[in-house]
Amino acid sequence: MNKRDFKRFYDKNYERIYRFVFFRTGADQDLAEDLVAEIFLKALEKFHSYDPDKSESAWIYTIAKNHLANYFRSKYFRDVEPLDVEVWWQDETWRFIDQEKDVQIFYGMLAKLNSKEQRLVTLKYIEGYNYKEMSKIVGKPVSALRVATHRAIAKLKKIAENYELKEINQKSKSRQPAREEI
Amino acid sequence: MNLKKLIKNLKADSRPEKKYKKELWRELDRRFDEIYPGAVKQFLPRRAFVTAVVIVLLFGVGSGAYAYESPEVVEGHPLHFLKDNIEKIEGSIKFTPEQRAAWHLKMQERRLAEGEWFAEKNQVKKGVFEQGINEMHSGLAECQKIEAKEKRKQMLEKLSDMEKTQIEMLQKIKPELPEYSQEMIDFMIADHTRRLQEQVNLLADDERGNFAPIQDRRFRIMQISPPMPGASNSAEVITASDLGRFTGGNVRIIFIGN
Repeated sequence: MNKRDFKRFYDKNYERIYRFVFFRTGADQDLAEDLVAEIFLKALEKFHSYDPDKSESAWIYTIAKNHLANYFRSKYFRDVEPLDVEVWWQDETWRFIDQEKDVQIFYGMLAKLNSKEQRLVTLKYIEGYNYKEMSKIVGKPVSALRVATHRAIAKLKKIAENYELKEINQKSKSRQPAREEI
Repeated sequence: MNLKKLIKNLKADSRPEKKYKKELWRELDRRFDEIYPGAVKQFLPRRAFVTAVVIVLLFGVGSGAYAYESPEVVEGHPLHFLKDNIEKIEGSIKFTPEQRAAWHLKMQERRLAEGEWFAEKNQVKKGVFEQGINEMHSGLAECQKIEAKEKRKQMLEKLSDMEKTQIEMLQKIKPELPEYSQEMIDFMIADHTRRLQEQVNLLADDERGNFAPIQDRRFRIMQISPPMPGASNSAEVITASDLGRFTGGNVRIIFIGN
């Protein structure tokens, strides 16, 4: 148990936990920073019980989930389970986002996946975990996760292509009246 | 909609500020010291322990073992620092005068083996002989500190036996060496004889073991001889005034040889 270990742990997990919180708090940077600070302080207090061989990043991920659940409970005065937090952007959070267009588009497409697929895609492509770490977090074998994640991202790609087609159609439709006017 | 690009933009937009990360670490760093006040102190011995284990492993395998065992590894050899450090570590864990005297004896034995190895190749490593002689003097000094008379006597006997072995070895190799090397050895022995006599004088009669006959023989073979004609005052040639000083005035002029 020493400070160097904790520093290494902090450097490895800070960005991932920040992103995890950021996308579940309506991309509110100030709020995300406050919550991340609280999460790492909690982790510091319990760091003597942390076993990197057993849990790696899953330990801090669980702390973050529980902490966010507590935060939402106190904010909305309703029962929130840590598991709900993982897909929190589906309902409450993302409606607060109005300043980030990319985020809105992504959440709009993500909402078309089921909750398990959303979880895999964000863990892998947004928070940046590798399959081994994801396996500890989700509690499933690496091979199964790899297949499931590939399927989820393939599905998301199709959604993105359709979105693009729709966008093109919308643009072309919006141009047609202009021609008629001419 | 390019998904790859979208995710890339998303990650860029959600990147935390480095400044905040640093600030938060400063706070955590401070809190760490409050929550785990002994952690830094615990950390240092563990680090020292790990370093010691690494050193032991390093010395215990490969080049370390070779350097320690090989008589050809002497001053000037690339692996000499390994041998020197292992011997120093070995010496640092000898705590009683008896253990230290035994260690000096062992070191002298090792220097002797090195000297012999080079002599077989018609080479003289002056430093090796000097170190061997110094080990003998250090061993004798440690012997004076041994309180148990019987143990002291036993150790002195071992040291005097070693002195005898050293003389025999030098006598064996000396005729094979070039003249300038022979003179160098003579010079070293002259100095050694003087220093040794000072220590032997401090010993009781029954503790002198082989030292007394060796020293007597050395003084007997020292012949009164005029200064060598044309000799300069160099390391190879011992002048009359130097030799007078070496013997404490007992013998005016000495020439060491057979």
